[in-house]
Amino acid sequence: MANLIIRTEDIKLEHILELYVETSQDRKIVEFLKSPTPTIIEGSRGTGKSFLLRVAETQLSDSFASERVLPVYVSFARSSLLQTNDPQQFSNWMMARLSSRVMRSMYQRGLLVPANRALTVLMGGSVGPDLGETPLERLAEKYEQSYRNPNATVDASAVPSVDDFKDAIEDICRERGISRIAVFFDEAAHIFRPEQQRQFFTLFRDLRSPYLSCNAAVYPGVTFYGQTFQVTHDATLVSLNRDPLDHHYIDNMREIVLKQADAELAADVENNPQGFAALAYAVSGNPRLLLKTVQRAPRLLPTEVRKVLKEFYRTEIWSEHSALAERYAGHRAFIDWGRDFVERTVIPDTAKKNEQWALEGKPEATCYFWIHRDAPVAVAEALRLLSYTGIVTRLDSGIVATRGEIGTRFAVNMGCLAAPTADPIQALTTTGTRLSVKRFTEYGANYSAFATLTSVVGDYQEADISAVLQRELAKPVDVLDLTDYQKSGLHSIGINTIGEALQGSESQFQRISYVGPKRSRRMMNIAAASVLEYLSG
Amino acid sequence: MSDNSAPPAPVKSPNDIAAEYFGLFHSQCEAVFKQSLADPHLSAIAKSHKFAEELNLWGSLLAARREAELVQVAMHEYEYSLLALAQGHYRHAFKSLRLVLELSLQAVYLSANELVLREWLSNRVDTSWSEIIDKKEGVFSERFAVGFLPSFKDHVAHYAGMAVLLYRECSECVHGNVPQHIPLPPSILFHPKTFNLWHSKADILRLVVHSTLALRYFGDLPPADQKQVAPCLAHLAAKIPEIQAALPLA
Repeated sequence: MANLIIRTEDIKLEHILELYVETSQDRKIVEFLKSPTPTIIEGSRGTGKSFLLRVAETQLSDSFASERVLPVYVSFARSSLLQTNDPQQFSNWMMARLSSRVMRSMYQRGLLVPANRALTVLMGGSVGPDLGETPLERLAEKYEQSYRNPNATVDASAVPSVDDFKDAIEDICRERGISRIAVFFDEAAHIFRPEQQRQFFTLFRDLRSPYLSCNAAVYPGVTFYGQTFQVTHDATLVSLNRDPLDHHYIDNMREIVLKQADAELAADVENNPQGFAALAYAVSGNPRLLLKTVQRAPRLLPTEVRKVLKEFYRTEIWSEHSALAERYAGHRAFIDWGRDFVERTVIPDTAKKNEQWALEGKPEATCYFWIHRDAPVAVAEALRLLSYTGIVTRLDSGIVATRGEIGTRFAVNMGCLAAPTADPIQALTTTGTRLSVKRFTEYGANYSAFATLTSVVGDYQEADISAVLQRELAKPVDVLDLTDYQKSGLHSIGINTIGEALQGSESQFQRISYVGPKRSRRMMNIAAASVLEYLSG
Repeated sequence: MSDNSAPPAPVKSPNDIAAEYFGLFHSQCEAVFKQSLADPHLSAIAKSHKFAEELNLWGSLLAARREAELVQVAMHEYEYSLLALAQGHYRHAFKSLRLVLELSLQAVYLSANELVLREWLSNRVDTSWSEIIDKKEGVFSERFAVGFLPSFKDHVAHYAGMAVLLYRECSECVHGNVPQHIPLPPSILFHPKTFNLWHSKADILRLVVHSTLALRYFGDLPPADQKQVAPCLAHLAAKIPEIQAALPLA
């Protein structure tokens, strides 16, 4: 069975371009990311945001000698571990991480020699010529370790102000012949921490400078922009939706799999085109889900594909969504209502339409629905969380429906739509080839199902992340998105909880049978990425 | 007619002149030597001298290789550089420092091409500094790192930058340029600023040479030899997992 890499974090930077399947949308987004215009890519989990950030980074890196634009990738995945009592902890940590990443990117290009005053701003103090760990790197590390000792105090006096940082960047660029530094923020703001989102977008806006261009990847639910950031003025917002309506959709999805496939899998993809097409339509444009489901139906035989479609889209994808309610109890009403609305209203309504059109011999099908712009805010919040897990995709707003009413158009995941049918492969291939975005089910401002949500939700309350984190760290590693072999390996060396996996050392991982230095590093990274993704929502 | 003038001084022979002239040098050098070897300067000398022992260790670990000869020459040159420094011959101390850098990196460079190494050892070809530090083929190229110690790949550019800068600065003392980085006193006398500057450059030399030798040879050394040399490479421990693994646990 081909060992497919599911997460971008597990791909070495030098292999990124080898796995890149460029669509016209991807090309456009990558060009935005490389340009001086600040760009925000929005997309559900697994749609390829991190991958495109890495593509832009690699391309800028390859052209650095001629273009002199220095790419800097900064991941904020560890933000969920911050637990100090400092109200500015997230801002301080972001500046420390950003400064350190700029410094390390320059280091890798030999641009830190000779040392000067501006560089000490990025390091938080002076450091020897060999560039060991800098004071700011140590500071960021302290914040990231604060979950072990909540409410610890961290001395943040070495963190530069935004103005000092920008001045230092300008000095460095002028002196070292760098035309601009392009920053790529990944995992930019925690979905359940509005305050972090506000602080992030404020920083994003404040960093604007001719010598610095900022770009970020965010989940669709990240919408708390703060008081100063205005999406249309301060950044270009692009949605990353791989559209099943695109003529090359199946070809592109096939190529994504073939880039990583071994000879056997490649042959199976060619020999079972209908099974592959069904899986590709089912993911509604999500490459990570495609790689995951292909891995679980390795021969792509109809029986395997049917089983995967039933298991994954009827149970697992929903379990993942409902699990959010267990972690973030304050959102339970939105999460549960959202599931109920899609499962009991949107999917049956949509399926009924498709069946009716099929009976009438109309060559049309839909997976789209429309919500009136005056629908309750709570409904928007529930849909926001459904977009985060990728069960629905927000396509566009300002769409005129019946009687000239205006609203937002969404797509429901096609796997979820087809899974309840008797033959999901048939349902997916039929729906996929007949899709029409002009056909959608409308839910008006006062649609009856909305009332059940508005009656149960009170004021929005931000979750107590500290309590959530401690509870999550005590959970068994079995909840993580790891293979059974990886999970049993962790248990065999006494790593049983998420907290233990987070703290596991490389030497500890090497004690797993048949795991050497290279594999242990990879496993540790996979475990850490999985833990951080789990903790982030 | 009387002659009141003093009797003529005896004519000094060339040997006398030379003896007096070099005697003066000797006493000046001796005075500088004493100051260089008095506290707190002695500690700096002792610290820098340790690198000669470390180069000697590398030389012994690589003894079976042809290029080990260059490492030994570099070690001797480094000791000469220290001697020149202690006596106040600062220009020569910096010149030698540059030669140590060149010889050490040249050993590493030639080790990757045995034919050129043999030709060089038999004086049939020359290599240039620009070849040694060439971005595509030199000792700090990505190709070199991927070939010999892949985990070093992200660090080569930084050490290349340090090597190039050190070479350029020390070259002032070779070419007699107007000093920009290395102030030299006009005569033989102890000059604390230049003395301290030499140690700071020697520190950088040590980092660059150890890192380059580690980049080329560490992966090939038997585990016992890796353990022996790892303490000299502690600065790389956080960057290179293989070196971290060879260090005794703290």
